[in-house]
Amino acid sequence: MRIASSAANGDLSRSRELWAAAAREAHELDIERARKMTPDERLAEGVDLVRIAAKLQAGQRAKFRTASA
Amino acid sequence: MRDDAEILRRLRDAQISFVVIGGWAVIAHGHVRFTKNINVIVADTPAVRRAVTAVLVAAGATRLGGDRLAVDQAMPDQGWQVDTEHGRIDVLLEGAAPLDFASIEKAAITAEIDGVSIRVAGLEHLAALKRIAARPHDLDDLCALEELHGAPIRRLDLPGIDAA
Repeated sequence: MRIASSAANGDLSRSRELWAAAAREAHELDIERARKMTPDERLAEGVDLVRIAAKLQAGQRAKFRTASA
Repeated sequence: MRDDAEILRRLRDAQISFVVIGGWAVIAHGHVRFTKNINVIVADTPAVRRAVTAVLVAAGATRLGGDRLAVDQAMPDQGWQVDTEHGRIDVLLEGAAPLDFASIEKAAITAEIDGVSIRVAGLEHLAALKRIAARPHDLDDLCALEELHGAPIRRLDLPGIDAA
């Protein structure tokens, strides 16, 4: 069974409101989380993010090369 | 420690179908930028809502203010925005077509994060989600993606948005 709470009327305006509310809460959570971290923890998290992003990008580039070959 | 792949692995292991949107999707489409969290979109069914909540509870999820998520908590219509032991994740529920889950999943591309194969929103759906969000960084993402992939990215018709 589908709830379709945000999609029942086939209109995306309700979804836009819900997604905007989610983004606001997410932003506040990010700020609160960052405030609790030490500078070292923030740096470690940033380094980890760059590592994951680099892997994701490398995988996508490899796929692109394969598709183009 | 932040480990976005682990959160995704947990969702996958729980047989939850999801598509990655947001910053990671932008990165997967070629524009590398910072992102603080991982965003996924899921189908809006009672079973999915319950399953997602269970996975997040198992990952030690807390909400804004530090309230720990409980397995019997009903997922609100805006989804969950939580901090877990592996980092931040936002789970959004699908919208109306063309941003319903089936349409987004059908057009999704496959990528891999740390050995986890994931479905990532296709360019047109990602652009539509960015157009709806319309925050400064969303518009920056749109510009960057159009530079990379050629402008304009085909615009999906968004009922209730484009006519407004």
